[in-house]
Amino acid sequence: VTPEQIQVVIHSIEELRPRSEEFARRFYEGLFALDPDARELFPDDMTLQRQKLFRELDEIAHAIPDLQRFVDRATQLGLEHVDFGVEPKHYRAFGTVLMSVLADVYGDDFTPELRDAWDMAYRLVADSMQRGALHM
Amino acid sequence: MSAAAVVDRWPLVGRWSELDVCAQAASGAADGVVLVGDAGVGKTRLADELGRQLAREDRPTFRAVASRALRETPLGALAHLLPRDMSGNTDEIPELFRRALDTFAAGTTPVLVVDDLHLLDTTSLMLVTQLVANGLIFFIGTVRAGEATADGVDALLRSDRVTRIELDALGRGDVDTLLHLVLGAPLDGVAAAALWDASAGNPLFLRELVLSARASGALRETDGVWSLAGPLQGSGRLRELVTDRLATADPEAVALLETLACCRSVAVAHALELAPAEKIDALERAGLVHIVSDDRRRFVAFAHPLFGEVLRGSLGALAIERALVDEAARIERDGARRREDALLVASWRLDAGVGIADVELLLRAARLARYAHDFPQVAKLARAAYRTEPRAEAAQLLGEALYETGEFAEAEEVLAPVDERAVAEGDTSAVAVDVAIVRSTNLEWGLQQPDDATVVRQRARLAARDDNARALLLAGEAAILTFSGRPAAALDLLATGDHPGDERAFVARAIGEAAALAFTGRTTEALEVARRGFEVHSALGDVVAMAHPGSHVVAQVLALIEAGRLDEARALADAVHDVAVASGVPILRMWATINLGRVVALTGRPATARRWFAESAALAGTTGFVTVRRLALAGVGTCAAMLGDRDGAIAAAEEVAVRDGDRNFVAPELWLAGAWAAFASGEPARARDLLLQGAGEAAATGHRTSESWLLHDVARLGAPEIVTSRLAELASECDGTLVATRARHADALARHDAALLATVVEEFAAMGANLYAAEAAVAAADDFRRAGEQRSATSAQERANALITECEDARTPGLIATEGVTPLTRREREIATLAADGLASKDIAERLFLSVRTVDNHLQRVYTKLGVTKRSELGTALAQRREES
Repeated sequence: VTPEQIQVVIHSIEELRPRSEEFARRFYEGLFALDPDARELFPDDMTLQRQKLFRELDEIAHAIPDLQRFVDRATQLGLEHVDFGVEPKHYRAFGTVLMSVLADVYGDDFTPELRDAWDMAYRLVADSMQRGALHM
Repeated sequence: MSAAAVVDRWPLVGRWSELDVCAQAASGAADGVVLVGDAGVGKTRLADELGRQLAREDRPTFRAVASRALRETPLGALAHLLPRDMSGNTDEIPELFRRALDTFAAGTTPVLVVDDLHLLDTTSLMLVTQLVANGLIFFIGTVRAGEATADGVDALLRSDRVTRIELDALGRGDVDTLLHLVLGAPLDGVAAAALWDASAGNPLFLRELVLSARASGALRETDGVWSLAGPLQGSGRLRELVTDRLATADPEAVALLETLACCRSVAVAHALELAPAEKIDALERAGLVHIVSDDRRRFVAFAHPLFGEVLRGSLGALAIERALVDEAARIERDGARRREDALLVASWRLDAGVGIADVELLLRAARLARYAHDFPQVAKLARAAYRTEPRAEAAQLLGEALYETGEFAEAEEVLAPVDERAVAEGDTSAVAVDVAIVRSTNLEWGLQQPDDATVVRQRARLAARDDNARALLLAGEAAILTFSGRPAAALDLLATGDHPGDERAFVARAIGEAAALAFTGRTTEALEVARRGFEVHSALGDVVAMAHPGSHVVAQVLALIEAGRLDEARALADAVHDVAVASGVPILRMWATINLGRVVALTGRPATARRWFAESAALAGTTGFVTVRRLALAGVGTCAAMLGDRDGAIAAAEEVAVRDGDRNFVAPELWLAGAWAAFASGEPARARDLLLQGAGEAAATGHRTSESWLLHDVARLGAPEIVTSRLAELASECDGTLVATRARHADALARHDAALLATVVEEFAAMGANLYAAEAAVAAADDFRRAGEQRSATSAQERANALITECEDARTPGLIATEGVTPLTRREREIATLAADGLASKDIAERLFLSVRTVDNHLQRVYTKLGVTKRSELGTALAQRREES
């Protein structure tokens, strides 16, 4: 992830903040449509979960510039997600849904630069979480 | 993140789905995974990670690395995992190995990681294959893509219990993530793109590019961002980059690097003799070497095997030898502490061509290689031992290896003096007996000198004081008699045995005895002996100087055939063939295919039988089994003749070249080839003479079933009356329905007994001998017709027609009714008409766009169908046919 891309993602999160509730709702709708089995990973009442999604996204994106802090956070997150029953295939599904929801929300404003920045950032996060999950 | 992190092992990135597949395999979906990919793509990294994950689940995990340095050392790569005392029976290796792993395993399946399988020595490969096949380990292996691999590796890769994973280069996104994590800060877009372009996603290439760019200052960090201050070096190929990187090494470190290239790794203490400590530190900082520890000591190794490979490729033979010999000397000076060291030292010195004195070590290595059936390697090791000290055991291993690799004359040169010396000195030790057995086997099968083979064995038997040894030698002598074509003598000899001997003697005896019983027509006893032989042999395992357990099943098939139980014989022969193909033992395949040819020929399908015989002949050709090759060729020729292929029949008969007193183990049946070739050439009288000659040989050697086959063919070729009495005698001496029905068939033919023929038809049909049945039915129809019993004649002819459809393209004389007609095909009629008009075959061939050979084949069949032998008779016969129809 280039420094420019990090800035692009952080700026994008600021843009989405006022619509965070809608963003989270769309995200989980998309995820459960793509992978119905993933529903079992979450509680019946998704209210808290929706708030949590954006908060984590916010926190981890802001952590990227300080790599050690970022890796520690991602490792911790990865370990927690093992306990929730999250597997490698779920990371792939999350990534797919994240990109399509972003494309929806931004519409014509979803430029290739914005897409690449999010894509790279998600890879870095997902990869680091999975490494954490495996105690690597 | 500090600079050292770049040199450390890089984090695993982008391999999550592969790791997931591996984890599923490890949790019971498979017995192993093999990762296949280019050098530097990250196979080892992934394999180690999986091993580590499994170790975290409390699965005991063992690691081995194959390499050029260990490749010629039997069990070299696995030696550190083996129990210390391996000098015993090599057949127990898998069990010993399992037990060694078990001591750590405590109930769970241990995990074995073997890196660079394509460089694994054959003995280790054999062991790994057996452990995987028996589900004793979970196996993780890596193989370099595009490298030539041993058969064993291919077999592992093909196994459906092993998951094969192709590892491709990383994608662009993964490369960026990896760089970000390793460098501890983001790269700018230009640097990231340049590194991606140059590395094409190969992690090792990427690592070398980064290390080299960092060392040259081309890649630098400013304000928390990495960027390029100059061009990347070595953006051509990975090997070139590695070569450049090695070239930058300090001259004072060269000796150490060269030793690493030849010996894979050296103890830190030895490394310090080759290079000063600070130079080793510098190599480590540059990411060229790393320092690894096992539980006993620390050693230096290249950071990636590709470094050693590239450097070794640039060294001359002398430099490699010197490095090996020097390191061997250092290891020995320090007392060869690790259990694998001694073997390594021996093997390196052997590679370097330096004479060594430790015969014990070489023999142990040779035994290990023998366990893997790696006979070229056995020959190399045993020869070195034998040259140092011509001990009997070295001679035995060397002689056997030479025999197995087809060097029969040299095997005799090695074995003869040792055997003669043992005889002169009255040495009756187990080794002396083994030498005599190997020598006589070589004389029998290799040099084709059965009489000398018998003398060698007899001498050893008479001298032997041990009951087991005597029983074993007696069994061997009997086997030689059986397989050199004297089954009756073999059984007589076995009857003189005074002691049954141990299980090994029993098994050795069973192989020859079952075949001899089958050939002499005692098929029930033959089946029992073969069955028990197989049972005992299977329990005994694969012992030195013994045949494959499948040999007993081969004898069982033979007995079933002679008993006329063709369906069972066919099913069992198929099963043996499957085992032979799966186990890749060419000798067993050779036996399996000749048996298939034999049983299929008797069921009356000459085209299929011919293919099996041809395959067997080819296998016998490559394994050097001349006797089997000739027998298989006799089958090819006989089937060719039955299909009307005169040229094929003649060619086969010429190669078989049967002679009086032939010592082939079924010598009488070799006469079939010449006889049927004569028949195909239009000389039925000469064919019958040859068959009678073969039958005479069979009577002399006790081959009752062969004699019955040959005499029965005399009847089929038109002279039943001269064979009926002898066939009846044979029927009374043999059990089983085949010989009995043959006798009845001949009798009915001789007496034109249509009713008896009709019974014979059903007897043959019940056995599945459809061609014999069809011929009997045609004869029955003829005789009924002659007797004016038209309805019975029609019904017999219909039965014959139905049976003939089961007989492929068989065109034997028995299928042609003397009274009835076998219609000519359109093509046959066309060619026959042209030939009758006086056209030469060549002209007919040109006119019909056929080959001359095809025209001749068609004409041959026309002759047979019309009962003529010359072209001049064709016109009249054709005219006669037209009148009839």
